[in-house]
Amino acid sequence: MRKSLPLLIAVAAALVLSGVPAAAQSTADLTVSAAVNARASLTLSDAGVAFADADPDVTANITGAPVLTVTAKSRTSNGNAVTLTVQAATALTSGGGDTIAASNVTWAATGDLSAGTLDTAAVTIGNWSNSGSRSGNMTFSLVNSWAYATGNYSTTVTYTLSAP
Amino acid sequence: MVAFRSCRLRCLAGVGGLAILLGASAPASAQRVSLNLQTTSITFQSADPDMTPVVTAQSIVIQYRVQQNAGGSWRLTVLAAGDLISGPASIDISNVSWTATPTPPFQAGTLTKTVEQTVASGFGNVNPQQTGTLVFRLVNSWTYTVGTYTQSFVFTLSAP
Amino acid sequence: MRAVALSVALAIVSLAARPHGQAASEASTVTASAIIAGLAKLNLSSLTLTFPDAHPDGVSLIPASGGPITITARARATPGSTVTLTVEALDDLRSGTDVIPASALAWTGAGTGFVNGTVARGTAQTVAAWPGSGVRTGTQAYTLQNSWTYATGTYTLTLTYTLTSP
Repeated sequence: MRKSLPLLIAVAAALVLSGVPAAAQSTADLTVSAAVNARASLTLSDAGVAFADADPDVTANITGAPVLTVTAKSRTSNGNAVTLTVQAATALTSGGGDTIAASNVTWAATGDLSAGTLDTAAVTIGNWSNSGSRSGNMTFSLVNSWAYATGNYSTTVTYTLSAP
Repeated sequence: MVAFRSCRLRCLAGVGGLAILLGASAPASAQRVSLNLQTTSITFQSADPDMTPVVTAQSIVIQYRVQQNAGGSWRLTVLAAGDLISGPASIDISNVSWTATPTPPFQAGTLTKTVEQTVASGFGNVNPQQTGTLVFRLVNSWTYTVGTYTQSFVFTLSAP
Repeated sequence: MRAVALSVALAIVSLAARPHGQAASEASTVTASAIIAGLAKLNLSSLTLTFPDAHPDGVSLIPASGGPITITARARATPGSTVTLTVEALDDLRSGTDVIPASALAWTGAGTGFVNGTVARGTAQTVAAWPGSGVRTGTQAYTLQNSWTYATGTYTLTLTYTLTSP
């Protein structure tokens, strides 16, 4: 007659502690691309400069107002030249057709700009290399003279920023 | 019933034995069960939960026999001694289930640590010895802490 | 009748009163082991990040095209350990010989465990960190600092993400 007793078969567990790898890593690469295109931005603080009438014996050179702040921003290929020019469309001309030569207008400059004399041909006021933001102030002067005919004289001065 | 064995005088000269039999006149036989597991150690190998959502261990071949059980039921159960344990970490034992063949008398199920679960059952005798195969399965998960977890499962064959 | 000394051995044999059908059982134990090894898997919703050209005066921080990158980190770690995700640039953004510093790239992180940061050349920066095992998801929204000083060109850089599960 079989005894009704539990029969336990004890077996040691198969522990594999030393073989369990612990640290794990996973990597992924992200490719970043950024486009930088050529750009140019030119800003003038005012749309006009005026010279008030003055006694030529007292004021040999009339200072224009306001002082003009010029900001030239550009992106270009490395090593490329960036230029800023000014050019008068005509001589200063009055309503009666009298003229004052553009060369009677000069300017002093600060910052990244160069001083110069106005002309009906382009005059360089800034010459730089590579991308960047440049600025300066221009203070205009008009040579005064008893030879000028009376009238209101004006001309259009065009600023050109070139960044190839 | 008390039986007397009367002797002649000569036999009474020696040691006489008086046997008193107590108890009902029950037959000498009772149920007999036999259980043998060909594998007593199984291992769930580590696997990527994304590739292997359920990890299977090696199969367990179970040999069992039930005798002198005419008209009676028999049952093979399994009970886990606790959750799968690795130091302070544990995996709930309900994540372990099994499939079994042949069905019937074997059946699939899920382990618990509180109530014996039926692995196989039937009536009458199982003679000669029969064989079944169990394959345990562990739900895989990224939430398991690294370690080697262990636990015991007790199989019990009974003929109540 | 002769008196006979009887030596009577009274044997009382008590048989176990076993009625027919008494329960019989037999038990056997299986020991189970489950090996959980360290594992780490990293998924990025996109493997490319593109910044379009933009006017530096109007757009000081250029957002990446396509929006934030979604990151899913799956890790199994040892008890009490910290799972970390880092990103590193081995170079600056480069277009031929022209360079935009890697530090011009920054991100805003969103999701449990994710932090903000700035890319650093040669130094891994933490993107996220979590306690123990699990699956975590979050996003990174990258921006590129814009500038008039950048030379024209198409710049590229490879960022390497590393998910570590101790």
